[in-house]
Amino acid sequence: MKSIAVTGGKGGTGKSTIAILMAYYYLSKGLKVILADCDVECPNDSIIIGRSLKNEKEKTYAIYPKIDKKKCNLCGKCIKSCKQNAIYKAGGVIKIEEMLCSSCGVCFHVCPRGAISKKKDINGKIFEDDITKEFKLVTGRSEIKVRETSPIVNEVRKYVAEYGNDYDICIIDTAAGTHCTVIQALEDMDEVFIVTEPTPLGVHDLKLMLELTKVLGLKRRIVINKSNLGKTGNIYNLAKKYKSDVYLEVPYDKKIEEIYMKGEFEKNPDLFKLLDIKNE
Amino acid sequence: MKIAICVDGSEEKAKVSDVFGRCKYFAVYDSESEKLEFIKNPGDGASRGAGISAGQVLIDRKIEKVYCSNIGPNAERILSQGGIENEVVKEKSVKEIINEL
Repeated sequence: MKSIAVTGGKGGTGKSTIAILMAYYYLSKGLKVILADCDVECPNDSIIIGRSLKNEKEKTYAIYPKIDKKKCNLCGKCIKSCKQNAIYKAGGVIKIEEMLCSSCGVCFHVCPRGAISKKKDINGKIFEDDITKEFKLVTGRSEIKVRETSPIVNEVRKYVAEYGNDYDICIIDTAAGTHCTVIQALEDMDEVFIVTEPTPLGVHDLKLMLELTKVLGLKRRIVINKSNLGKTGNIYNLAKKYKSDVYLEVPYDKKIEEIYMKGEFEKNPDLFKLLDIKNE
Repeated sequence: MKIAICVDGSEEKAKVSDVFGRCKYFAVYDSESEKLEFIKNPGDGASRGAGISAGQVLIDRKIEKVYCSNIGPNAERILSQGGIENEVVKEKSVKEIINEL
């Protein structure tokens, strides 16, 4: 199964719309497609397509450290090892701030007395929806108040990977931004599509995303959404500078917007034909 | 009593910082020995949990009271767990706070 990601840095550039349209494009080519919504803090591909999130398949868990006060001698090695500053010592005991903990697990290993055990707590859920026999939507959704959501993205990716060669292509729709949750979604992708728009904000965030994908060593191409609403020169310059290219220009189209607003992509599977998607 | 004042400069005329977790220094003053020293705040520059890391250094130094102009929820929790009182002061310098003790 080939894995591609649709990302963008800036919010609202049209990542989900492009991811869904690309899914229908590949379906039209006779491929079996998994669309994995990894924008786990506000997953909405199901809404845009026109489906409801009903079929909960799995819960995902964060692992938090729990201190055994009888074994702990307050040496403080766990405090020093914690990059999130989630552990501290006060009033003669070690305390954990779970809201800051990233579940990295380093503290379990550094404790010389084995005084830290693992405590599981639900941090998210995975939903699965067979829209058709050839088109599966997998959605990760974090629970409220969970700060560290990249482990949920990791769980969604593991879940999807289990389908292996039952499907031809997996499209990962990432969150906005360039933070851990997005990095977790981008790692090891065969190809990354960066959706941007011809605005100063779009160009600024495109640059960040080009930097990030460069560091991650990923092959990336640019999609300019709403390309007729502004000047695209800066985007082409960035593409050249970062040895990327513009894969697709999508002019603003009222029809796409209307269907997006109604959440009716499922009823309009041929909408991708408005896009000049290249068959490469 | 041992107090700490959040500051961004390591001098007596420095005014109390606008932030707790990410202030540059703590002015640590012991009213018994009348000794004043400036220590670097490890929370300044922390990617996350600055308030926790700043609070830890104050607990380790057995500070009893801290003066700041603002304080976040994480920091407030660790200070209360460590039994450190905090007082909100605005616009005062290290020297003024010490003189008023």
